[in-house]
Amino acid sequence: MGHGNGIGYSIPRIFWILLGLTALEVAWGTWLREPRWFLWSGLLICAALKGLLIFMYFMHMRFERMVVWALILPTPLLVAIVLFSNMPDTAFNEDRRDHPVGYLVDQTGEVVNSLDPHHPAKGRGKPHGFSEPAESGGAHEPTATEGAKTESGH
Amino acid sequence: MNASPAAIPAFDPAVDAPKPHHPIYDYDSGPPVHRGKFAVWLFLATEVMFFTGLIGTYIVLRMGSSTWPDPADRLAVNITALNTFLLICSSATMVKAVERSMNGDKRGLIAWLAATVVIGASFVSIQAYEYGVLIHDGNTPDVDIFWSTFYAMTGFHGLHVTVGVLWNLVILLAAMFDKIPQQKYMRVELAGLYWHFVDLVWVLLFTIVYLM
Repeated sequence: MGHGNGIGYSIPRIFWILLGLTALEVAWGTWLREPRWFLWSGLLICAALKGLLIFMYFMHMRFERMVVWALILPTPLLVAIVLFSNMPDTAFNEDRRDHPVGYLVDQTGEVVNSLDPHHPAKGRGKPHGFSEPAESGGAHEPTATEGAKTESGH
Repeated sequence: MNASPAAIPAFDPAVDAPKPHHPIYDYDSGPPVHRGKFAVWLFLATEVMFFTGLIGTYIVLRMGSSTWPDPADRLAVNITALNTFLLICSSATMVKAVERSMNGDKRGLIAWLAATVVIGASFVSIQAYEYGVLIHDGNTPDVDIFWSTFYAMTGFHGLHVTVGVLWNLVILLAAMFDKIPQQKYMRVELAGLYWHFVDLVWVLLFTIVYLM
């Protein structure tokens, strides 16, 4: 309890670190979008650090007894087991890679672009939520294989 | 010879007091932490599984798609960055409320808790505005898998924030009516645990859904 406030740590210090990490994260996600592995690793490190700070200090886990750790630690482990046991049948199943996101298979079996504004029955969405889409923004109608090139992959 | 009636014996608590139905032990067999804290952490463990299930589904679906839209093209990152800032601020004000409660400062508790409620309500309002704009533009959950997962994750999170705001509001009202004395600061701390958890989930959601 080195800070004499009953909490055991400096609240402003943790707050400013969290704020700084958030600013760094937004800047990283805005200006450093390529290459993707660099973007993702930087963002995940920032998010993990922020989560860890909130978990250890704001949620007081750094000062908590082992019984609380025993309650919370097994849960992500269980979820990870379920997630990774499903991964081969879902994420790495080539059958799921037939159609890019934004494309639907309608009742007749036709593949349609749900974001195509020129298609009166099917163009329902706009690609930009808070601004008018560019002329070509929502209108691209690539084939399934072209879609992988026009929209960002992962 | 008539026997004199027997005198009614005086009430002897050692003999006549009602007996408990179970033995009384001189030790506490409960968990070695406050029972409320134990219960809330147990609840949060189920919440971890709930949100990890949602995020995990998103990851599996995203990895299983041949392509995925760039979130920056579809979502307004700036406004959600503001929301992230708000939620982090609200976590800090919540910690201050817990600290003031531990120190028996009623006015401080009310002030910081009120700030937490206002900031939390602002978060929900901004999210509602975001949903309104997106839906007005035709981006409903049934358009494609991007929007389905987006609304599922952020919607359930928004619901949790709303519950957190209501919980904090109840604690605030209790504090205003002198129902939370210093020795019962744990009530504030339990609400705070839930609130920080909601903040933590948003930190991850913001990164995974809006930035990656």
